[in-house]
Amino acid sequence: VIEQRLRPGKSVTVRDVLCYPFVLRSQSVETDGGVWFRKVSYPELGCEVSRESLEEALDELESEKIQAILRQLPGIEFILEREPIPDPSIELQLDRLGATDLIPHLDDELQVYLASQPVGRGPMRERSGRHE
Amino acid sequence: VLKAEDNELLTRIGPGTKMGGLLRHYWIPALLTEELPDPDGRPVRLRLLGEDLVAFRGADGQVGIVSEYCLHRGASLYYGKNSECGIRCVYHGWKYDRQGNCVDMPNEPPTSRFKEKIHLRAYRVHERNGIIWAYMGPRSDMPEPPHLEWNLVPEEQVTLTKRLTRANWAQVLEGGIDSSHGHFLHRGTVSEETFTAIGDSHPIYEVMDTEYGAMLAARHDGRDPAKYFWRVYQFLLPFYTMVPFGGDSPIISHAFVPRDDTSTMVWSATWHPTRPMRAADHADGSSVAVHAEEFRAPTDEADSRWAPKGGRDNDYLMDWDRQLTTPYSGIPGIPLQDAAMQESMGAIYDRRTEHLGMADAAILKVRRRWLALARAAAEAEGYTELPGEASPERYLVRSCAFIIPRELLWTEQAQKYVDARLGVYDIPVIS
Repeated sequence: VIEQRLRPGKSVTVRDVLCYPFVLRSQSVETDGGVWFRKVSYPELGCEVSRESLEEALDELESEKIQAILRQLPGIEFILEREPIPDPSIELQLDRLGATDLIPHLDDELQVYLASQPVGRGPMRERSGRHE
Repeated sequence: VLKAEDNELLTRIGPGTKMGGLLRHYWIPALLTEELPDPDGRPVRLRLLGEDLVAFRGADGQVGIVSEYCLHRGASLYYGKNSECGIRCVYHGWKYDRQGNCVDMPNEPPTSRFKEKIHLRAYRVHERNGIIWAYMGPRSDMPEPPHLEWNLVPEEQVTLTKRLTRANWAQVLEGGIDSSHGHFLHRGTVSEETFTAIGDSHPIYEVMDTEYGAMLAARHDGRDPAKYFWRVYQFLLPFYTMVPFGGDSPIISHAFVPRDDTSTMVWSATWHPTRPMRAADHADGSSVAVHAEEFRAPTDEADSRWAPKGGRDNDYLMDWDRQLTTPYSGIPGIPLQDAAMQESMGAIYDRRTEHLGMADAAILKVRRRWLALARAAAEAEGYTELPGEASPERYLVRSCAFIIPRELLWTEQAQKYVDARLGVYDIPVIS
């Protein structure tokens, strides 16, 4: 189903999923203590981060986005309805986010990659983001 | 806050810089056709991406864009004689064709082959619908310039102007995707009805990358509590924006073309997909009155004919009394209002001191994409194709605004309106 919807006749790769254009939302929110934060989120992935600084919030969110994608990989096709956006900087971004072990697998077919991951490891594993 | 090294990467665009390298992946609007009207006419000086250039239209009507300085001893070819499809330096008579080849060297013996070693820097040119485009990159198979609708519709359906802003391209463009400033800076210039229609001044912002750039959406609470009013901006790589107004309004686009590190040529296009532009479209109060109208007398500086009359030296023609008595900046007209703010940030804004709020997420996202792509292109082995550069057809898009029930996704609704079909205008419902 996912192959037909995204790119007829072509298989979906790990790169396609990582380059999928998820919608980023930005808003200001007030906490119970009356402090205002900048909240950024990828609603389609169900991940969000609130910080006083927009830059710090977005840094953390980008790391969280990769983790959220990896957590949801086995069932992610239900939200993939747009064309992936070719991104020649994806390797650099993964490196910056501390997800370098994904780089050799970027062009693996999604199903092959998933099948190669040991149970309890790989896409389900938590990663620690690294920020500059 | 942006680290100093990232600010340098973002703002330096001359030859050999990473951001300059990114920009050279794309066609660049260089001149209006009206600036170079006649075959064998007077050459024009221009500056693009930190390079001093001269443009000339040959006897066959084709345009050449070459380095301004003769390779003999550096005299300016702006004073050169344009004839027989080439430009001849009036110092010693060296003549160059559109490809930069030295085709005549009359101060050498007729049998000398010295001229065969002389090649002036020259750039590929494409002229279409009133715009002379330049390609300053390395690709020999570069497709034609982007299919921006404002460069494809009939001439009477578009108004196209330029203005020189003395500030770095990135801060000028960031003003173009900062959708919240209009409520404040342009109040009193744009009609109150427009702001009433738009609604609150602190919407929720959403951003989605596209192949050509990004869609930037602002979600306003509509008058109907069951609906949202969405305004969808376009950002197109490397330096274009489109602003939405909705209804039968013409559409606005800007190209923020870097001249050098400290100045930008702002191209403004307003166009209607199906009808000629009207005088009322540019009248006071119109939300699309974005064209500079009064300029200074040209100087010996390239592009100086596009310097607006209002500038830092005369407080941008500020009316201080009106500022006190009306909801109005005191600066006349949208172009000067924008220029005053962008130039007042300094020639190259030091982003280490900024404090970004929720309305600046689009700026941050676009800025990070520039930085990531510039690094990727510079650090790759060999040539790396960047998004959109070889897909001119993907640039045939519009901005749009619409009101939809809250449960619907703007991304799906926008798809009905953003893909432009020439001669067709499916006007979104906004009432």
